[in-house]
Amino acid sequence: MTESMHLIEALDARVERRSERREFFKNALGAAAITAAGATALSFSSAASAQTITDADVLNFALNLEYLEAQFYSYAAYGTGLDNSLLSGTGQQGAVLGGRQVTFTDPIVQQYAREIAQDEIAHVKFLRSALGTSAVAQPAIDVSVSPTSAFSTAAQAAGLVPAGTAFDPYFSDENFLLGAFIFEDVGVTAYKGAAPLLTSKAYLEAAAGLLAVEAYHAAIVRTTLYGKGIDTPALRTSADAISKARDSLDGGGANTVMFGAGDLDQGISPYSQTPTNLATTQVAVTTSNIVPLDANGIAYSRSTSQVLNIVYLNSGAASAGGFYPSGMNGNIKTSVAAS
Amino acid sequence: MTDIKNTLEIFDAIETRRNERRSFLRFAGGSAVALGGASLLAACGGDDNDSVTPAPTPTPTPATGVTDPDVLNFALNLEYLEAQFYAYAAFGVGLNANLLTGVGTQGAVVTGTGAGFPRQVAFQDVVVQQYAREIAIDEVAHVAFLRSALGASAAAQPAINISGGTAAAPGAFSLAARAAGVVDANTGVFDPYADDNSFLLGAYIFEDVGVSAYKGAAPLISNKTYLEAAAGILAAEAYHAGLIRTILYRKGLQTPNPISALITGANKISDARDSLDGTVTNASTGVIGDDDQGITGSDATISNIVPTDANGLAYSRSTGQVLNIVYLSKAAVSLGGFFPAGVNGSIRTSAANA
Repeated sequence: MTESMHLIEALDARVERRSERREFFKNALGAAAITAAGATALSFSSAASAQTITDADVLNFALNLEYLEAQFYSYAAYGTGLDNSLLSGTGQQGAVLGGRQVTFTDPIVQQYAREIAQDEIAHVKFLRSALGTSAVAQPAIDVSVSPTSAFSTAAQAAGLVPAGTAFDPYFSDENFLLGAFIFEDVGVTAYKGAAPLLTSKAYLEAAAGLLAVEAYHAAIVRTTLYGKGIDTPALRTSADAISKARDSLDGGGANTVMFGAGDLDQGISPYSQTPTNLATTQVAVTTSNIVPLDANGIAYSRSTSQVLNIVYLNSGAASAGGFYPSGMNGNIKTSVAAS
Repeated sequence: MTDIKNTLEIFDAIETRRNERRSFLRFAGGSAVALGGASLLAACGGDDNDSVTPAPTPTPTPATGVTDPDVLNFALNLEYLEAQFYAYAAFGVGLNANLLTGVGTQGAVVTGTGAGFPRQVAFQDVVVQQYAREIAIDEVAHVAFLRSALGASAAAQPAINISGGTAAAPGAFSLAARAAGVVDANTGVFDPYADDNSFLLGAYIFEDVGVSAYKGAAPLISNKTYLEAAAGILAAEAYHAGLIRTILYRKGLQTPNPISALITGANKISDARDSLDGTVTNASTGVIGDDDQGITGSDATISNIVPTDANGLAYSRSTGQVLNIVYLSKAAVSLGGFFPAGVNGSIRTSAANA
């Protein structure tokens, strides 16, 4: 009975999200017609209209996110941003307010940074090639360090640093991992929420491939924070605080109860739970929380609006802010107030 | 130009795999009764390049012959396997009996006393124990979820072998380890419950396979709600795989006392999976049969926690290829390895790669 209710709840939630999408697209697109995708070797869903999301729109939304991640990791791992040849496209091309190479002391963390950077750059290239002349240009992106930078705003909201103080994700292994933590689970929920919007089976399989890689990345970051958190408990509690901050931005209240209302996000700290469905009755045991899943063992989804709430660092309706000072490019760029 | 060419190659490969799926399902449908009573042969008739006798009187069936319940049941079989392994490793017991019933021949997990058989791992590293518990609870939740989604169509758990066994009577884990060269090819025993490191390598065998299975199956699912759920389980398996690979890598390189056998073991297992699941050319790399990677790459200054193709995407496996791995056979068979009596449901035959 309980499991059926979970399914019904999932169905209801989907219907809600679908209505929400229709609503916000009415607002976001207004009277602007969606121009037909430029002539490319690939065709996209036809019948683009002011109220229909196309596959190209979804892929461009993903591309915006990949630009952000790729720039951060590229600076962190190599001290330089993306090559100019990867930044052009439709919409307003913006500059990156960049960072610098992390002062790594743990060579394995440095290896992770390089590996993830390579993956994210590959994602940018892949999406750009899939979109062809429909690919959006990189918008203005802020991965810089200052008291008012996006990273600092996020860190202040999470209580990692006092108000008015800069958070520098390039300062150390630990800061880098916490900076990375801000992005990775969001990427997972974004791809999961967007997958059902795609109509092309080929793009769907590609999106599944991107989703999986973002989850692998998130696991690297969460596992490393957790392991280092044995000696440095602040790493675990800081990650938990970032998770709470994300939950506060995307609606439904802060994350105070696991699986509770509005809980799309979970920290990593260990907690006690009692295993069920086993051959014998079990006692409560302490487990890690590397993998943020609902009660069915399923990763969370975020709508595009909820993702924007987080990356714009604004729980209200917004078209720009946070990591995207001028907003994303493309047709999916405006959030509604998180509820 | 190169990039667009790569994308088109991907689409071609996807199309090829789809045709291959249709082809093999014709043979897989043999004695199995598909849901709804129509035979798979009738469902797939006339839709491939092989010369075949004309299909019998056509019955109205889905174009591909694979239904959403077929796909979810395929996933359920894999989740039974993972859930049982982790439940025993973490808690010393298997799944509740009421989670095992359903359509098809119900089987049991092979059990026994002492070394080589499923039992709780005596963890030395409390963090590894916490991970084992966390993953076990997730996988049991997956079993429960898929069963509830499938309702009366849920497949029963088939017979499962998750033992190391003995030298004379090797269990599935020993067979896998022998094939990978992790233990002696003829007399080796691999007991994943013996200690922390054995558990981690045992887990490694499954997790990436789960990711590639869900990724390959995603385009087969029609219902959007099930698709989103499958995506959510895909993500969970990828988190698990990332966790296991990250731990193996760090322990493999830790100072002092790096445990290099963890890295070489993982890489050997990856190679063994590649050799089982055939020679389909990887659309992105052009490398034949390359859909699996160990945790180190060609560059010693960069980890390889995430197995990705040249586009940074995770790999797909067809259901046939997944079965090659869990049956531990390159040939088109219906049982073996971790499933001594085969999986339950209509998707049950491995690909012919021998």
